[in-house]
Amino acid sequence: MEALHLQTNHLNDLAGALREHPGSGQDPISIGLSFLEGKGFKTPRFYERVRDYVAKRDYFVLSQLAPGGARTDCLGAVLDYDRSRFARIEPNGLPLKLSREEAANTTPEVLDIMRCLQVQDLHVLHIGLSLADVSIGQIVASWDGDYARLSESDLHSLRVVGLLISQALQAQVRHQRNVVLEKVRRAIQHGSPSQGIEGLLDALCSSVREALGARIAAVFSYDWYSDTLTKVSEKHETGLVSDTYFEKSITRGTTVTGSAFSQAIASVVLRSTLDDPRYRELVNPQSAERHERLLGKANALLFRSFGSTERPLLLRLIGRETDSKHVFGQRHCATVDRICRDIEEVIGNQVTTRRLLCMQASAAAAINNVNDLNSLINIITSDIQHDQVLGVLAMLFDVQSVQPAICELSLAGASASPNRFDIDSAFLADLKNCKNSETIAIEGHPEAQAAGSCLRFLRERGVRHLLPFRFPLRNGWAIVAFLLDDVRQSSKLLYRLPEKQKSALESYAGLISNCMRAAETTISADNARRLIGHIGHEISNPVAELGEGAIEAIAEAMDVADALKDKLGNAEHQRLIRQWDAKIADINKKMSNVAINMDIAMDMAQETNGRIEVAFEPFDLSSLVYRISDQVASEVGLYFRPTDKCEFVFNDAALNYKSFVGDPRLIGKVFLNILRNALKYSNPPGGGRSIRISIHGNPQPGLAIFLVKNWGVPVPEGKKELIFRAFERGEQLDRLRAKRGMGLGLYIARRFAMVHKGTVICRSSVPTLIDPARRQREGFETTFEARLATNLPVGTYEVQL
Amino acid sequence: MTIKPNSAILARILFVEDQPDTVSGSKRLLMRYGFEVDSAHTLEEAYDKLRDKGYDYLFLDLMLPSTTQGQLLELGGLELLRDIQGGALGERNRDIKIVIVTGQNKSFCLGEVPDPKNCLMLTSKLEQHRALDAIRRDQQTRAGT
Repeated sequence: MEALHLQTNHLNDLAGALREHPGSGQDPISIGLSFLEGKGFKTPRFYERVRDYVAKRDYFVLSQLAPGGARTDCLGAVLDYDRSRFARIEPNGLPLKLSREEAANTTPEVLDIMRCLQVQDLHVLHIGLSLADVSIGQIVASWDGDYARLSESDLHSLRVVGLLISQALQAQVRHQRNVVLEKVRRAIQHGSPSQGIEGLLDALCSSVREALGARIAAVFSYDWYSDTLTKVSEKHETGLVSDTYFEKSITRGTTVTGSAFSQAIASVVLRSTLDDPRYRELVNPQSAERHERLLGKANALLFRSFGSTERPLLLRLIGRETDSKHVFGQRHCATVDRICRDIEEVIGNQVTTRRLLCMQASAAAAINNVNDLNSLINIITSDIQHDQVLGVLAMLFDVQSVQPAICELSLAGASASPNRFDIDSAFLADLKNCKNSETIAIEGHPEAQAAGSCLRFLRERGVRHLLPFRFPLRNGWAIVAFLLDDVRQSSKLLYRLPEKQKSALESYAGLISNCMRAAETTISADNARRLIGHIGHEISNPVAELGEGAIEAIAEAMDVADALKDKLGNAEHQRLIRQWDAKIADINKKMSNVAINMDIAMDMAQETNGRIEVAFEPFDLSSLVYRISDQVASEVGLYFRPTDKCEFVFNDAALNYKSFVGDPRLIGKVFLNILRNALKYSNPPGGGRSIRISIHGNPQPGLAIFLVKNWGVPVPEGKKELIFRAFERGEQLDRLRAKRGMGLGLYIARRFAMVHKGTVICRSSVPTLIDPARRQREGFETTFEARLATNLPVGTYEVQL
Repeated sequence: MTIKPNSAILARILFVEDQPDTVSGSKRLLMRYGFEVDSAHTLEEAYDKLRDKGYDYLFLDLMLPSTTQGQLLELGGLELLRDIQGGALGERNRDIKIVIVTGQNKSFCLGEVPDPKNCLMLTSKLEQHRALDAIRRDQQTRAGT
């Protein structure tokens, strides 16, 4: 389900949202607004503003439920459901509006909170209610109760209840509506309209659970509702946040009802809503002062709800846009300031540790799919957001001597974000001057010990320099050291880490380690590549001589057999000839395999230290792919029986890339390796049928995309990236099938695609058959995707991979 | 070299290769199949034979040493190829079907061939059997036409 957010002041939007739960196909916004208009609520201008806002924003926002006028009561509901899916926190302080893709683009501070809360997989839906602008007269007119005995404040409450019950819940929970109505009537009869609110909340929670399978995470309310709502909130495990609780939580440090998490989320939402100038436009101007106070309370609660290590982060978040007085409000400012000072004093630089973890998590996520250092540089240079990646890698690899670009970028990143890369200069000076790890360890600093291990680790890998690049404070070194395999188990390094973070750290460490290994492979591969080139060139002739010599000998033997045919007899002669023909075929097959591998090796050798010369020119891409498919089809005997056949099936789009600019040599290699891979890992179809490989074109603006699909050996989920690494091959199953190769084909395909500002990925590998036996026989459907830019300039270039 | 046609000669083939051991098996098999096979181990020898005698197919190694203007070039075979396709060796040789055999990267060589016309195929020294198959298919095509 999409996260829906709507900024409006009316409860019937809640009804619309509930009505709109998956499958109904209705538009809750239009339903809600139509209803409002139908009832003549407020002025048309107001609804136009709402509608415009909704049209632009397309989301629901927590608003307020107020029983009237300047009284700005709050009933905000945060629906917490489907944790397996997430969403996003919207930048700029607006409430949660969530999608994975956009989460990556949100502000680092918000992401920090997300990570700290570990709610990456939380899908949040806000539904806001505000009746502050509802025409009281309309409501009263539509309510058939007896108001004569009620006080003015009770009338306000009653109007709220009436609207909630008679309108908001009518669509989704008709059967409950009567129950709630009855509760309200009883409440009125007993002169206690707050009972009606209790019924309302009860019904609301139940209906939400029923409609969405979720629970309301938190409810905001005013003091005068809180007593009665407590029972309901406990019943429904719903957080309840009221004036009193705000006060308590700030001044006495007591725990408020409901989970701190729920309240924290709710506070974030409330704060954001109140802070949103667009929201302010929609509410009664007389409520401004009240808003200000609520804002302070919300921030205070927010602050309180987080653990000590997260608070400074929140301070950063809050302080990013405004000063503390504005944020916390006059009444709470002094309290909050004191808390801030206390926390800063107590937890010291621990926030830096957490911040670093966030950085590293972000870095790890960014580099998780990176196969080698050069790819990483591409990512880094294309996205300044990942300057922390530089930090991690520069620390871990010190690739200054190998990749000067990284060093330069590291420096650029450090200077661009001086605060983020603050440093304990004395400590680092010690580090740089130390001759071995023990020197620092003796000084009794765990960080130093860790850093010493780190240094040793780096030096063992040929590190010659420490980059003038720093992590924030000394704890960064400890964490970096922690990330290294050989010191990860050191209990001394864990003393600062909360227990619940250790598993996450393990995960991050794994990612970083993978990246590190990939980088090491790349660095060594640069040297190996030259060697491969020489070997590839020099080995061809001797192997050819061996093979040709063997064939010559066999051919001579066949000639002799021909000469002796009479003595041998026809049958024996035929047997010998068939046997020797088979021998020749076998030799040819083996030589072809060597040729393929040598070809790949020499392709590798074309690349020098990550650079390759290319000549982009116009050519017919479809024809090239078609020719290559012919070549690959002719190789079927290398991997299957000589009688097997391979058939490539093209769609129209795949045959329609007539005009393409690129380096045909390299593009040829891209497709040769992809198609060859598809053939190698196909299952023999049996029954005289051909092996079938489909090639589908899927043109996109600026991109030529080919989807190559085969049916056979699956690519396990965890291997989809691994197979693109140099010298990586599939495991057991591949070896069982004895596919010959060095594990370079897909690596080269991707590298050469990257030259064309594209890539090659394993898009999917899925079973297409339920029957396990048939699946075993007919295989998984595996799709590789090749993407190539179509806007490359003609000319000769040296491309940095 | 013993030429041993099994029956009528199917076609004449010239191998231009300075390392004859790398083509010995292919030549022998072609002879078994009924082709007349000849060899040239240097570029000069290849020029002479092409001028003296007509061939239907040419196995040409691009990486032949050649002295051009006093400078040793490794891609002498390329010179020969250009001369053949440019008509410098007569009209008779212009239409000769050429199998380019190379120990170099095929992609590299593909970019060097001036005109793919009449290039039957480009193959590495390790896959000459593919050329043999191509010649046999070409023969069948010719017989069919």
